[in-house]
Amino acid sequence: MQWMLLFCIVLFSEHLIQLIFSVLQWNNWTIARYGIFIESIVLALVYISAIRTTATRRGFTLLVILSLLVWGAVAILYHAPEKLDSSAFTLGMMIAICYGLSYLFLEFRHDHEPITRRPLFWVATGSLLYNVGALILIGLANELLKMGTVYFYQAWQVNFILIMIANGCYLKGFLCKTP
Amino acid sequence: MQDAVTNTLWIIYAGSVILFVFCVGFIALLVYSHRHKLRLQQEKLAEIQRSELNYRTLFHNSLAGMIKFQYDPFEILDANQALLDIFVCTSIGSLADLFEQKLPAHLTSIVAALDGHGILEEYEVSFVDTNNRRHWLLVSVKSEHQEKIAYGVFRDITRRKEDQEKIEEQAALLNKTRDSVVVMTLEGEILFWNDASADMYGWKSAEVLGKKIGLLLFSGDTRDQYRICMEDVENFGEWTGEQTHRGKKIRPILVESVWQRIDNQYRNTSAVLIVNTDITEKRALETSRLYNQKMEAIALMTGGIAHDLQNILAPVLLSLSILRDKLPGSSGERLFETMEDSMNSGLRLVKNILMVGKGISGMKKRIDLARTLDASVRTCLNTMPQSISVEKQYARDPLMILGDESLLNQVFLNLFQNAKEAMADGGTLSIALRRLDPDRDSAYVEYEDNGEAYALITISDTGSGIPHDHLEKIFTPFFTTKEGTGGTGLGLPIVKNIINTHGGSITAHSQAHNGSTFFVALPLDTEHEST
Repeated sequence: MQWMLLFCIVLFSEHLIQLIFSVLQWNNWTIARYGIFIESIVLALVYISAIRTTATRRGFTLLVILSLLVWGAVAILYHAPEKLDSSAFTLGMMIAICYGLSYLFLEFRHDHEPITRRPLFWVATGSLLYNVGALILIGLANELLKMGTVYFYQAWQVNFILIMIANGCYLKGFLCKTP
Repeated sequence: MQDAVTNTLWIIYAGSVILFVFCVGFIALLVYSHRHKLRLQQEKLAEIQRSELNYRTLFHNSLAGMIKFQYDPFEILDANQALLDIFVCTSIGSLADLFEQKLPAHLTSIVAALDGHGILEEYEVSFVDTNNRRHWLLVSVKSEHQEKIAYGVFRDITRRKEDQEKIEEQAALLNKTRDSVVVMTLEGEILFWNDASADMYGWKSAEVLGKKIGLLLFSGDTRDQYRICMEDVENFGEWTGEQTHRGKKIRPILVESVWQRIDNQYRNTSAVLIVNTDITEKRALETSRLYNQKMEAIALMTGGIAHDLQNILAPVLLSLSILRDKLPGSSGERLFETMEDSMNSGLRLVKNILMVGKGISGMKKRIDLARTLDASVRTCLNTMPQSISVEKQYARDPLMILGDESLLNQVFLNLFQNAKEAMADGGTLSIALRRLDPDRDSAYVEYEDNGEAYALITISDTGSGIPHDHLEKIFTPFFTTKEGTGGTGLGLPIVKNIINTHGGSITAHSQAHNGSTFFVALPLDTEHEST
């Protein structure tokens, strides 16, 4: 639960800083870029803390480290501050999708209680819904920007709707009674 | 240009929506599957709980004693009330103490079996309770192989054991009785065969159990008796009467038999209890007594007649002799000869009748049976046709008896003569002489088994044989099948009389058209042998 709280704080902080930057008409793409990196690390920690068996936890940790290394390499190699780093975003989102799916499969194997009563299920669900829904939008954000700013902002609005859905899921996770 | 933008936007949003919907569907499916899986598991768990409850109910309410224990080291984990009742204990602790104090050897055996095979079935345990009463228990235990835990079931079989002992005692009594007791199924399959049956029939229990009594004790001509009494047993529940059984030996056994049907209401089965009393000897004695009475009457009557007849014929023969001397060379010479021959025949007949009636004493001396037999054979060979061959087989050692040689000669000649007449178309006359072997010969030779040694003379022919219904009467005076050819019916009675006078016996075996065999048993003179 502590890791979940940290995850939510990270998310809230990231979105708040992005909002402040956008109000001040500053470029918040760098914030978003590092935000998703931190967000991924904290999400991975949330999952790892929830995994019960040591072997699975080790395997998951290894998967997280490898994914973050790959993500870091991609972010460094394709760094272009003048535009949105959609490749790093896409990779980060795909890693988050992988975490979510892996966690759900792991949780599916446990039969102690209904899966919907577990907070992490909602975190994984929120993360999956957001990342799956926003994957194409974020991945092609630069293309939208080229077509016109209006299209980019429309996509960004959709992205915010998806963020709201994900946040709703996280809230539901907080409301779940911990076993 | 605008169309291209629209198309690109459409592809981006449609792709995002499809992925989003797919993700929602996937999560919904996951949730549904998990719920379904949980429900199945809950049902399974409920079933296990029900099963556990059933097990607990069964465990604690069972009439058989049940136990759950750790066997290394021994510790009782649970025991039901029935087990505590069996061992008259109030708690599991006292039960454990009792096990270790009173049943240490059994406990060791059980633990060894569990260590070895993990299971022990139908193991009998006995112990004496505080009231000094012996209990018998049947124990079955099975190990779980986990932490050396085992489950056991104890059944109190004391009552069964006591009943079994009672049955064994009764069976022992049945074995001690002198009557044959047989139990069989309604289909005739033998279930029980006591020792007296083994003595009477010659078959041990193991040889006959499971066999059909109808085939075992009844032969072709007596099988109808079996059929009739089985019908009565089935219809009326019992049958009583006399039967002729056969045993391992050839000699038939006359029994007074009671057949009783026994119905087992609990098992819904039926059996037949048969009690046979051997009356062969009793009947033989009765027959012998009647025969002797008859013989005495005949002897008395015929002796009187013969004596009177001898008195009548003797003067006639004397007068004939005088008359013949007074009328020498007359034409009536042939008539005189005929009359004298007839008179002599009449006197011989009278003499024979007197021999049968009064018995034969004779002059007994030590004689060699082989020599006597040879002398008789030589005499007989003079009148024996060529178509009859004679085979002799004598024991190497001389067999000596005390007897009258001339009377024995008469016996053998009579038997040879009968054999010769039976072989009108030729054949073989076999004469054998050897020492009687009780084990081998008692089945077909009748003799008084008083521990004496006997010589056995066997005279067999390959002639026409004696019909079964005649065989019983051949030693009866005046019974003859040669009425037209001058048979008087006194030959074999005289033979028997002579043999009896010598302390021996004669037995005849024959089948029609299959030859006859006469066994003559005569007591050996062993006293002189030993001296």
